[in-house]
This record gives sequence, C-alpha cells and structure tokens, in this order.
Amino acid sequence: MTQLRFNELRGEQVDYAIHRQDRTFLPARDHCPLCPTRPGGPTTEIPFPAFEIAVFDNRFPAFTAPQGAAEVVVYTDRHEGSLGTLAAERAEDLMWVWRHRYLELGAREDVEYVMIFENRGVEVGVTLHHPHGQIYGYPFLPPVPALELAADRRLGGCAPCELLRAELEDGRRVLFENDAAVAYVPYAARWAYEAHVTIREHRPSLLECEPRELRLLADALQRLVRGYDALFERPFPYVMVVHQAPTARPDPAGAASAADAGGGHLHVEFYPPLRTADKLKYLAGSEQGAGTFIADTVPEESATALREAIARAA
Amino acid sequence: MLSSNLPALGGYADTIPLTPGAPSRQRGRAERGAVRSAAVDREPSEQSQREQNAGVGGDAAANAAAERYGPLALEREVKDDGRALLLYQRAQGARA
Repeated sequence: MTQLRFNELRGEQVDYAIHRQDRTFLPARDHCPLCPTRPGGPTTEIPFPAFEIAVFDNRFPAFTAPQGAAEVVVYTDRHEGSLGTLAAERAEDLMWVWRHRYLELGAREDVEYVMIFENRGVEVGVTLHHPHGQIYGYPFLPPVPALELAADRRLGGCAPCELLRAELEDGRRVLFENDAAVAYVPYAARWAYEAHVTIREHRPSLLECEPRELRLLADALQRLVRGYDALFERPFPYVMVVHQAPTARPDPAGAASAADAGGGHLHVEFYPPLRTADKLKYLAGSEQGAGTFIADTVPEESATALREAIARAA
Repeated sequence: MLSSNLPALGGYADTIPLTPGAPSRQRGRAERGAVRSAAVDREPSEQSQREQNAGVGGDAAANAAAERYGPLALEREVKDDGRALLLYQRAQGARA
C-alpha cells in the first residue's frame, strides 16, 4: 500500500502513499466524514450519533502495519470550532488520549517514533475542517527528532531544557507561562509566528507527566491558539507537532529509559505559515535548495505582537 | 531490531494495537522485564456510559469493549471495513 524509498542525497526516507490522491477533499458540511452519524443521515467514519473524542485508523494512511500507523483523532462531534474553543475539560481529555495513543503505538515493534500533530487551515493543506488531528507511527526515526537528539549531544544534555532556561533568562520572547509549561517564540524561529510550548520539568513524553501537568499543558495550548486567532482576527492556520522521545532506541542493552538515553523532552511546536494577515511564507529557493530559512520578521517583535493578541483573547 | 523506550508492561499487558494484526512490542518487553514505570497506571476496566449509541452502531456497538485510562473510559470498536475505532469519553465522576 505504501512504499519507502531512501533518498541518498538527502539521507532521508520518502514515503509513497499514492492512494492518498483519492482522499476526501473539502466535502460539504453535511457530508463531513468526521461528524457523528445522525439518524437518517449518511454514515460517517464514526457510526454513532454522538461522541466525545474518537480515534480511528486513517482510511487513506501514509503508514500502515506492519510498517507503521496512521490515525485520525477527532476532538469533538461538533463540526465547528478548534482546539482553542474546546471546553477546558475536553482539551485536558485530549492530552490523555494523546498519551494513550503514544503508549499503544509506541509499544508496537513496527513503530519507532510517534508523532501527534494537527494541520489547521487550507493554507497548510487541510482537507477536512472538522476539528481534528492526526498521529503517525513512523517505522523509522525521522530526520527532525534525529536532529533533536543530535542537539542533545551537541549541548551535552537535554537541549529543550537548556533552551527553555535561556528563554526564561532572556524573557523577551516568552509569551506566557504557567506552573507546568512555558510558551515562547524561539530565539531562532524559522516561521514569523512560530511558538513552542515546553514542559518545565524534564519529561521525555506525555507518559511521565503528572495529571496536573497535562491539564496545564492543555490550558497553555488553548491559550496560544486563541491568541493566534486574535492576532489577525481570523482563524490562524498552523501545523502543530507534539515532540516526544522516540519509542525505540538503538541500543537494546543501553539506557533504561528515554530520559537516561538523553533523548526527548515533551514540547509542542507550532509552525504558522502566515507572515502577515494575508501573506504566506513560502518555502522557496533558499529553504528548499539550501535548507536555510530566510525570515521576514525578528522573533522579539513577533513575540510582542503575540503577547498583545493573547491578552486580547483572554 | 530496535528496542523500546516505553514503560513496562505491568498495568498495560492487556492493551492491544489499534490496528488488528499490528505487531506489538509488549510481549518482548514483558519478557525482558521492566523498562520503566508509567507515570500513572491504568485504572481497572469498567463499563462506560454509551447506552445512547446502542442500536446505531450495529455490529460495531456489539463488539465494543470498555476500558479505563486515566480519567477516560474507552471503547474499542471495529468498523465495517475492518479498521479500528476508539471512542474516549470522560468517565462518570472521574477527575484527572
């Protein structure tokens, strides 16, 4: 169904999932496959008249067993809304669902890395507007988490811990903080309004979090998303990715946990494509050909604008 | 073959991959012993409250199995085309 080919020049895997060409594309609201199945209505992906949070195998998967997994996470049975508009308890429950999926998918032999993410807005290729996210279980360690592990080695410890310490010490790019998490525009943000929400304590994954931390993480994510929407007074497109420890490590006799192995610190990164209210940042020559982002804004100014927007949304 | 970083199996030995037939790392990890403990063990299974769905889900509803995870009740369903479906909801009276 899917095929992996290794791109030697890039040193990375490419996943061919050609069946995805036929996936559902921006259906009319009354044919939304993520809505509940109403009596007398069309059968959707969830054959029940109501639900809270639903997870199912993607009908058009990028990865399938025994070479990984692709799941859809539907946040609510309401067609309208977003992560930011969920009731606080539902957002907290979503953290537990993420955690459960990380646990179960990560336990599989064919999953080396679990990535929970959300694409929001047609600007980033969303094909269904119903509030939802996705989870990929990669059968290999992808390049980005591999780079994070390399950063740990380069910095001689947990890179997110060190970067968080530096952001708090500087303070200019911090958006807000609570007892468990800090939101900030990173020092070397690639996107104009990129933001990271990082757990204060060294937690390799959601599994190590206390219930209180999950609740506060949910609160921080919602607060940021509402701030994003207030920034330009429009639904703010983004790609949101939960970064956690790989679920497999290369040394069977090695460290007893991801923490001991030095890899992974739970944080959530947002990559919004907008650089103004109506202009997108495109990945063009330098970004694609050289791997070097050319930014049109400085993170300190973006952080100031975002702080004001978050205050307006509060 | 890579080994797992995930918690020990103690409280999760009866969990199954969402995709039927997907290989599970759990048996191997159980045999190798504890790797690390999960932050919170799963609570005992209990019947969740989804009576409103009866009669709509058809066979899927009949195949449901209720479990608990943290403050959530979850039911595992199998869709008509064989894909797995998990339904999570806040368990009655549960606090995270």
